Amino acid sequence: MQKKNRLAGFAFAGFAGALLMLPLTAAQPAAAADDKTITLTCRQDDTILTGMEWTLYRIGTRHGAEIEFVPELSAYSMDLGDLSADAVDTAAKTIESYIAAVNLPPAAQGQTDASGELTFSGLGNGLYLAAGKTLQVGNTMYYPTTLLLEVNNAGTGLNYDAYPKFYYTDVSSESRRYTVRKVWVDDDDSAHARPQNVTVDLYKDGAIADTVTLSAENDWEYRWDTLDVQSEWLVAEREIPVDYEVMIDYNQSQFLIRNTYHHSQETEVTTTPPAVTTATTATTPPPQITTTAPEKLVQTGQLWWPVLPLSLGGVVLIGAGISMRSGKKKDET
Amino acid sequence: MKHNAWKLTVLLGVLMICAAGGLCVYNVRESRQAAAFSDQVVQSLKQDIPAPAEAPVQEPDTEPAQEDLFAPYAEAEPAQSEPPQDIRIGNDAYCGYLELPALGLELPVMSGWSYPALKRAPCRYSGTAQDNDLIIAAHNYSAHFGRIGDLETGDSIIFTDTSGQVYNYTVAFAEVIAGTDVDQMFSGQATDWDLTLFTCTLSGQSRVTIRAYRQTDEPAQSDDAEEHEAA
Repeated sequence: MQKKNRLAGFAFAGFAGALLMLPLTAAQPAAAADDKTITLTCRQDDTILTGMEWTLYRIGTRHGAEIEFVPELSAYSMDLGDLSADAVDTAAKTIESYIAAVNLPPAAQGQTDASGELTFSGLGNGLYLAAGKTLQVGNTMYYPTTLLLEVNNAGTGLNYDAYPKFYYTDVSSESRRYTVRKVWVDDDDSAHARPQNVTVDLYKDGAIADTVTLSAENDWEYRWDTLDVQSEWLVAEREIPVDYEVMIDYNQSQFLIRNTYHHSQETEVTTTPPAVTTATTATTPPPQITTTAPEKLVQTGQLWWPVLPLSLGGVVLIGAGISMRSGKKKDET
Repeated sequence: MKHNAWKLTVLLGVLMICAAGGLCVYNVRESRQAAAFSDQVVQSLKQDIPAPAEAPVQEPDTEPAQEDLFAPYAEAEPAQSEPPQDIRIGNDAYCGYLELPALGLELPVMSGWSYPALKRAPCRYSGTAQDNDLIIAAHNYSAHFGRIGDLETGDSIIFTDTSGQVYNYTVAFAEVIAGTDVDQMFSGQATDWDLTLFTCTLSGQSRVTIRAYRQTDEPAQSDDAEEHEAA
């Protein structure tokens, strides 16, 4: 069964430069034939990126506002957002990660030529994902963005030129540090749906290189300290939790795996109260923990108050004594 | 025996007056000792408070800035910064010193309180300056908090912590709180006031309490710290 993902707000304009609509001429009677081509042009400023390896995958087809994934990918509940221009990059990275996970066979592969161009030909209608490999030119590493491309019959030509974007860094070391973090996008009510942990596979050039478990104990985070800069590194959540969709994003030091809760009525579990059992042992309520505020503020005064009563008392007693002595003298006289 | 009754009465009266006088002498002496101790500790603290650490120099980043993917999912709760380390002088730990310019006082503040400690210096009773809920208690020695009742609205109070951070406060209002009214002492912290000073009334039954609020654009670096830095 193939999973169909809805494309909310599917806007052709929003795909410009990202999810490329490859227009083919309507006059072509064999428009659905495998006769279309995609040409990638890889240049960054004045640098022609010759020899950059690209792999093209056919990931499915679009039907109106829905994407019908190929069977290998249909089992994964991916969060592709609204596929707007801002979101399509992340959608492409998410799909790319699960292409690595299922080891999807490529539709075509090749390298850019001396002019930085690569043409994939013989393509039929459908959705394609183009993933490029990192290329070192001099002391600079070029990281191509992943492209989502659509070939259909709506256009006026058989070929479409695509211009990938590139991120580039100076080669400062042979290895990189990557941190993978799992984030949950749900509310408190759905937190119970979270698993205790998730398994994340690290892929190096499409093959599993490491597997880690993320959980609350490690704050849903793990770091690899020495991943070589020449390889393509991807991560994928091995099993997407029930009622969640996954989105994967990455850059040159971070992998973000985001699980968004989508409550489905079909999987709602009704709970019944546990059966009442008769226990012979007496149960005691849990101890009540009570906190009490200090009853009195700290005493910060010197002992001044006795001074006045002592003084007054002394004066009174002395006066009384003198009075007693005077009375005694009168009695004697 | 009856003949000597007046003598006993006078003697008892004299003893009571002597007791009152002795108590006064004891209190005054204790107050002076506390004043001398506090003055000495304040001078030590001013010397011991380090210059603020220089901001770490950022290595030039040759790479284009990357978006922090994790930032949008950072915990919403405010980051709790650790209070600075206490400075130990003798057997006591101090969290900073207090200045009351209107009263001409500079006093050390111990980081925790106990009755023996209160006899030597004002003590942090609760909270921190960073969290705007600092409460400082002190004896009512004239050289400690005995005259805080004379502070007026708008008077300045300055607290400098052991990292050299200066917190400037302005007196908001004064109140007298019953010694048993703990809730009132803590009410309104970080909303109605940012700093509280309190001490006993002469009777010891109530607490003279000064509430102050932080001035804006704080904290700043202390002059002493800047002098350290310049040196």
